[in-house]
Amino acid sequence: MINATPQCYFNGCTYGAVNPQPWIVLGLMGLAVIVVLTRKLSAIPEMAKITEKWALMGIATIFFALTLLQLSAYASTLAWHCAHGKLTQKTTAAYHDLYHGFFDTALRISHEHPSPCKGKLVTDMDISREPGNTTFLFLGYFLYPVDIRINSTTKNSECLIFFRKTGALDGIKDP
Amino acid sequence: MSILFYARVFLSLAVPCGLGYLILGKVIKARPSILLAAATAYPLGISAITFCLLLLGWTHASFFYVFILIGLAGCYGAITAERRDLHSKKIFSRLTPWESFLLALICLFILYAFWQASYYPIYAYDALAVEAFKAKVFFYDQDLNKLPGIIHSSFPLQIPLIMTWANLCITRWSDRVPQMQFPLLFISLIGLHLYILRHLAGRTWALIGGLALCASPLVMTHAAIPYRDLWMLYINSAALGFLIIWMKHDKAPAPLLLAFIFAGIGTCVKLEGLAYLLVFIGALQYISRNTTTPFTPRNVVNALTALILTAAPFMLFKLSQGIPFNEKAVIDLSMSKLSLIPVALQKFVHEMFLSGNWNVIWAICAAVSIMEWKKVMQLREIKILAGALGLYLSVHLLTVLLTNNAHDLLHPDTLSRIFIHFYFIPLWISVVLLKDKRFIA
Repeated sequence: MINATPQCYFNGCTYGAVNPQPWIVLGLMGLAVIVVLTRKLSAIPEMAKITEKWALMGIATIFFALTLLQLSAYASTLAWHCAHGKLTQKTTAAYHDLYHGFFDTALRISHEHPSPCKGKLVTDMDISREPGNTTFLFLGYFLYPVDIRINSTTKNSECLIFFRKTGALDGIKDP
Repeated sequence: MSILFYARVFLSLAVPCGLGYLILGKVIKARPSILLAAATAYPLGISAITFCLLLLGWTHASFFYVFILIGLAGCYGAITAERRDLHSKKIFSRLTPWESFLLALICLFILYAFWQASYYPIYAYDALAVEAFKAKVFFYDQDLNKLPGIIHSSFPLQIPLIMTWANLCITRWSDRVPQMQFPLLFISLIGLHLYILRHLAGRTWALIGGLALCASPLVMTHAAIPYRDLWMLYINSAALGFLIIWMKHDKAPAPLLLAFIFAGIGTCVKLEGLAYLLVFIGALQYISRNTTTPFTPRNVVNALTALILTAAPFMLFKLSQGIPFNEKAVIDLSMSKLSLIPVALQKFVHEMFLSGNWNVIWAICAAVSIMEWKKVMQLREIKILAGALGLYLSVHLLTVLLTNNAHDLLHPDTLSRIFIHFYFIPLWISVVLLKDKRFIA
């Protein structure tokens, strides 16, 4: 199955559904063989030219094999998106898929309160550690210009954002 | 979406390219060749725009003045543009079928990068939590006032200001439009590799080098996201590449000036840019000692002026706002850190050869270096590149040993991004060492 979410952006790149590790290890072994054979055979004068040519062909084969693997992964990703009519997607749909845990909340708040406002996040999450910290930072991005991230304290806040807070309404009194 | 919207998006991409083309003409004092323009126009233009935005934000002037400044600069540049054409040869004339095939593959990768950028809105941790958030704050506030209160305020502002620029052009905040800026940098990066490798190894090998760059999955992913690492790769390769071209071929001051300009811009892209400036100075020192390349006083003054003009504004801005110089790396000199040396080296080797991020380019570089050891010891450009690689690795090893940032740096997520910064080195070494082989010609 093709992964429809973004591909790697930090490490351990996958080639679509293919795990590249065995291919890379195979490539490394091939390169090691090429180096050893070249060192041994290039000492024989009549073998030097042909060895050089075969070594280059070997290196090119390994490089292009992995390049084709990568290209085929991209092609199958595109083919999957084509087949499902998803070559483009709306921003809200994409964020809903990626960050549905909190993007929808942020979107609703932004619609109801579109003007800039200094806010304070009231939550049961521990935002000093993961995963609460990342959720807080991303929520802060989606909510802005309702600002819950910069110098935000209860004292200077103009609005309170209740998010993953049990009994959120209990503390609110009618004016 | 209306036609006007798409016209504005086009403007956000075309204006930096046009402005950069004019700046490039001024630097080289001639009409740039297509390849040189493709390699450097966009990065020069967008850097000039981010400098304008920084100065406007610093002086509390509205960001919309940037359009007036660009208009004035464009008029002045167009009136005084150099008409002298130094490059009569057409670069794409008479491509062999093999070269056409390589170029077609590179184009496929570029198209995929554009599709990725258009398909996904801004995602990933640093992009959303740091870069895009800063950009959103700057866009809505039309000011840089809140920067000291944002996490990682000491990080240079190149990427956030690029995103602010893209949204200023469409006059509203979009989570998608700024993404289109990054494949343009990717095209510049490929153009830069083609330009430099064409000087070092000829056109066919330059195209192979360009393809090898695209055929590295992590580079491809970074071609479509607002991370600073691909920018750092561009800056490092431009600074060292133009320096090598100046040493080997030109002797005219333009490549030296370009090298210094890009080395200066590097300090506005990532905090590491300042450390990489030391690597650049190390390469310069090697060239001055081992070649007869002329360092005229005028060359030196021009180059240093360019460096100071590009590097100083953001540092002075940080100083004036009371933003810490580098909040990430706090000095920590404990002897127990020495035990991290083998751990760090093992992680470096694992990242190079087994991570799956780089095709097998690092391994090819190692294999070819062993096979062509005599050439490695003879060619000056290989010595400069190998020395620079040693210095880049040393910078990070020393950061592991001398600061409290070891855990972050050695984490696979961070380490792979660091290795992007100097990924051009194994690629260029492989191409230069293989260029005389007869398999392809």
